[in-house]
Amino acid sequence: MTPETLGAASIVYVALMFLLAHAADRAAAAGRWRWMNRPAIYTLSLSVYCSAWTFYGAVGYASRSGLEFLTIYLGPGIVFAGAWWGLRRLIRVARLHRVTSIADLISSRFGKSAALAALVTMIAVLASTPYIALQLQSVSMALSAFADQGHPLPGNAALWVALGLAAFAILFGTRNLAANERHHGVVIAIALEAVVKLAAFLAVGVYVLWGIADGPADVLARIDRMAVSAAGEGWRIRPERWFALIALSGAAVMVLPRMFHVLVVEASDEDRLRQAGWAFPAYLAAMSFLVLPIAVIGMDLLPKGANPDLYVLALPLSQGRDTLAALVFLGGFSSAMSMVVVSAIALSTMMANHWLVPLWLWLRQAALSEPAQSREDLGALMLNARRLAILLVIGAGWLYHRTTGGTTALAAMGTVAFSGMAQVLPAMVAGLVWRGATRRGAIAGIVAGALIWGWAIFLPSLGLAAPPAMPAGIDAFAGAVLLALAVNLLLLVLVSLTDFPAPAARLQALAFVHAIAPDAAASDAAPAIQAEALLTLAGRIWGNEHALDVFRKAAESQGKTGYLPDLTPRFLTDFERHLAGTVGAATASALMTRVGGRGGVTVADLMEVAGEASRAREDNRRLELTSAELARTAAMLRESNEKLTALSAQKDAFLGQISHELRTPMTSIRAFSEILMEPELCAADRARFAGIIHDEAGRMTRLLDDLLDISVLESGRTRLKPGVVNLHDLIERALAAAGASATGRDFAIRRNPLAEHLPVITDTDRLLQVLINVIANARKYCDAAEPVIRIDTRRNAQGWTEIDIHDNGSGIAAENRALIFEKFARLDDPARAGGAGLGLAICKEIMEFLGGSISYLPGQGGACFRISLPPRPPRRTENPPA
Amino acid sequence: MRRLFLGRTAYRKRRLGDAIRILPVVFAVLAVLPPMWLPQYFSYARGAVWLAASWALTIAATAALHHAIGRDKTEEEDDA
Repeated sequence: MTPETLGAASIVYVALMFLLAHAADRAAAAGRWRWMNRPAIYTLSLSVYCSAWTFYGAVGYASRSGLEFLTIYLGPGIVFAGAWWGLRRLIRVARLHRVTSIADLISSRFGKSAALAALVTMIAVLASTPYIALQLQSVSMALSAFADQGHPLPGNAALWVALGLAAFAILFGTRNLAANERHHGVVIAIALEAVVKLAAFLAVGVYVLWGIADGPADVLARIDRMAVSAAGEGWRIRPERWFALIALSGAAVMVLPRMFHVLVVEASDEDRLRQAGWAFPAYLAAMSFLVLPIAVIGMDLLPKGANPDLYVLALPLSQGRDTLAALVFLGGFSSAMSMVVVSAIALSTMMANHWLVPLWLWLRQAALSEPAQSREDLGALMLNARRLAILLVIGAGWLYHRTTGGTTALAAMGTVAFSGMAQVLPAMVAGLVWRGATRRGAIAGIVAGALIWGWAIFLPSLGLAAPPAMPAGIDAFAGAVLLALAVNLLLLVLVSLTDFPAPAARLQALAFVHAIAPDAAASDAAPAIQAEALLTLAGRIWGNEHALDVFRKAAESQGKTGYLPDLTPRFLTDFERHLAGTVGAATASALMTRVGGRGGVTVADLMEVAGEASRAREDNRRLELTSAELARTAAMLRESNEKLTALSAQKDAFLGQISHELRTPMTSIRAFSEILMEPELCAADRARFAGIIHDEAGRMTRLLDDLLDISVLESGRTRLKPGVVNLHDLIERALAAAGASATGRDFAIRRNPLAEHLPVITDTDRLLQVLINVIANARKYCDAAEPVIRIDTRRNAQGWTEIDIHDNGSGIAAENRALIFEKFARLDDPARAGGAGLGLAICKEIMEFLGGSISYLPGQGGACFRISLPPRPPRRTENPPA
Repeated sequence: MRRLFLGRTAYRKRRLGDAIRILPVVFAVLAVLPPMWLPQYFSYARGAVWLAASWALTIAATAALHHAIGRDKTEEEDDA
C-alpha cells in the first residue's frame, strides 16, 4: 500500500460522494426527499462532530494525557442528555426565525444587529482556521505513515486535499439560494461518511481489543500497570482542565459553526431529537471508548519515537494488516472531509450574509426595488460571495497549516478552536433564557472574551506570543479559558442590567425567550411600501419562480387571486422572516427598510403589543378566527365587486362601441353599393368601390367571428383536437404570423432556442391562436424606445409547460390587471387598438379549454404574460359533449 | 393556561418531563465531580470503568425516557 494508491482510492471515494450527493440533490429537487428526512440520517449527520481530531488526535491525546481525552465527548454527552428541554428549545426558536447560522441567531436575538453578526462571524472564522488546518494536517500525516523511508511524500498533499474539498463544498453547498439553508446532498454524504468512519474505527478498535490484546480486562490491567510507570504521570487528571474541557466541549457541540449547521439549520423538525438525544451520545461513546485500547496497546507495542497521533494506523501496519490500515485511512479521510465541507459551507454562509452582502449594500446605495431593466441578479451575487468565502476559509486553514509547520499535536489545535467559539455561548444561552440580555451586553461580553482568547490562547498557538503566566499550580490553558468565559459572562450581565434596549430589540427578546412569533408591531409600516417592489426584490434574490410562488400563496391565504397580497403586518413579518432564511435577519431587515422605507418600532407600539396580549385568550382566538374569515370573504367580495362595477361600465361602453364598429362598415357598404347602382360608372371605379365593399364586409366578418368564437368557447360546445407539436416550431409560426401584421416598428426578439425544443400535447391550432394574440399585443402596445420581446419557455417539476412572453414597455397599470382578461375590456383609446377588445378574453377561454391558464406576471419590468399548459389536455376532450 | 391539577395520564407526562430535566444534571455530576475531587482514584482503569458505566446508564435512561414521552407532548392538557 503506497501513498499513491491511497491517494487514488481517496479520489475514487470523493467521486462516489459526489455521485451520491448529486443523486440526493436531484431526488430532493424532484420532491422525493422523505427518505432523507429520517431521524437516523439526522443523527448520523451530527457525527460531523467527530472530525479527524477524533480519528487520529484522540488516540494521541489519550496516550499523552490519559482519560482527559474523554472530556471532549463527555461535554456533548451531557448536553445531549438534556436534548429534550435544552436543544429542542434552541431548534424551535431557530426554526421560528429561520436562522441561517450561529451568527444570525445571535444577531437576530439582539435586535437584528449587523455589527453583532459580523463580530460573531469573525470569531467563527478565526477559531475555525486552526481546526481546518488540523484536518488537512491529519490527512497528509496519515499519507506519510504509508510512505517508505526511500519514498518521500509527494509535495503539497495538503494543498491538493484542500482544493478537492473546496470544490466539493462549492458544488454542493452553493448550488442555489434556498429559502432555508438546507443541503440534502451534503447531509446524505456526511451521513454515509459517518457510517464509514464508525465502521473503520470499530474495525480497528475490535481488532486491537481482541486481536492484539486479550479483551477489556487486559487493557484495564495494562492501564493500571502504566499508572505506576513514568508515562503514567501525564495521565493524572488535573481538575481545572477536566472541568474547563468538559464545559468547552459541551459548548462546542452547539456553537461550532458546523455543529450549529447540522444540529439546528438542517433540522427539519424538533421531534428528531428524541432519537438523536440517545443515539448520538451512543455513537460518541462507541468511538471514544475504543480510543483507550488503541492508545494503550500502541504505547506498549510501538517504538518510543512513534507519533501517538498515528497509532491508529501504525498498529495495523505493524501487524501487517494493510487492508485494515487502508480502511482506517479512508475512515480518517471521511472524518476530515465531512468536517471541512460542512464548516466551509456554514462559514461561507456567515461570511457572505454578514460581511460581503452588507458591504455591497452599503457600497451601492441604488434603490433595490427598481424593476431594473438590467436585472442585476442578487441571488447570483450572493452565491458567488459564498463561493469566494469557501475558498478563503479553506485557504486560511491551509495557510495556518503551513505557518505552524504541521508539527503541533492535533488535540492542541482543536482546543484552540473550541475555546474561541465558546465565547459565543454566554450570549446565546442568555439570549434564549433571559429577556433582559441586551445587544450592548452581548457585544461587550463577546469582545472581551474574544480578546482574552486571542491574547492568551490563539496567538500563543501560532507562536506569536507567549502564553500568559498563571498562578502556580493552575494550567495555562484552563486558566485562560475560565478567565475569558468569566469576564465574558460578567460583562454581559453587568452591561445588560444597566442598559435600556431599543424597542425592536425588546420585541426580538420576547420572541426568542418565549418562543413565540408576534406580528410586527411595526404597524406604522410606511405606506410607501409596495407589494410589487417587494416582489421584485424577492425575485432578484430567490429567482422569479420561487418569489411568484410565495406571493401567490400569501395572496391566496388572504382570499385574493393573483400575485400581489395586501401588505398586512402579518404578511410583512412573514416576508421578512422568509427573506431572513436566505440572507440572515440583519440583512433582511436592512433590505426591507431600503425597499419600503419601513419605519422602526416605537415604545408605544410595544405597549400596544402588551395590551393585546393581556386580553382574555379564548375570546381573542375565537374573534380572530371569525374576523380572519370575514376579512377573507370581504376581500373576495371587494375584488369581485370592483370587477363587476368596472365591467358594467365597460359593457355599456362596449355596446356603444360595437354598434359603432358594426355601423361604420355598414354605412360605407350602403353608400358604395348605392354608387354602384349608377349605370354610367366606369369599370375602374366600379372595381374600386366593389373592393371597398369587400374589405368592409371582411372587417365585419372578423368581428362577428371573434364574437362567435368566444361564445362557442364559453358554452363548451367546441371540440378539442389534440396533437403533438414541437414548441419551437409553434413559436416560429406565431412570430411569423404576428409579424405579418406588423406596425412597422423594429422589434428585437430574444429567445432561447435550446429550451424551446419541448414536445407539447395539446390542440395546436388553439395554442397557436393564443401565442399569436399575445405576441401581436406585445408588438402593438409596447411603448419602449427600443422595443424588445423576450420569450422564455420551460417545463416545471409537475410537467407543466410554461411560456413567458415579456416586453420592455411600461406594462399594465395595477388597477387594470384584473380587467384585461375580461370581455369588452380595452385599456387605451380604441383607435389605436383597432380591435374590439376580445383578444385576451378569447385567449383566456382557450387556455381554460386546454386545461391550462394565462396570467399576468407583475413586477417583471414590463408587461409579461405567462401561458401554462398541463402535461396533457383535459380528459373531457375524448368525450366531447354532444 | 396551565391547569393547577391534572389527571393521571397528564400528571405522569409532567413527571416524565421532570425526569428528563434532571437527567443531564445527574450525568454532569457523575462525570465531572468524582474525577475532579479524587483524581488519584479516577485517573486510570477505575475512572475509565466509572465513566463508561455512568455514560452507558445515562444513554439507556435517555432512550427510555424519550421513548416514553412519545411524539409531541405539547398539548397534553386533558384532566380526564
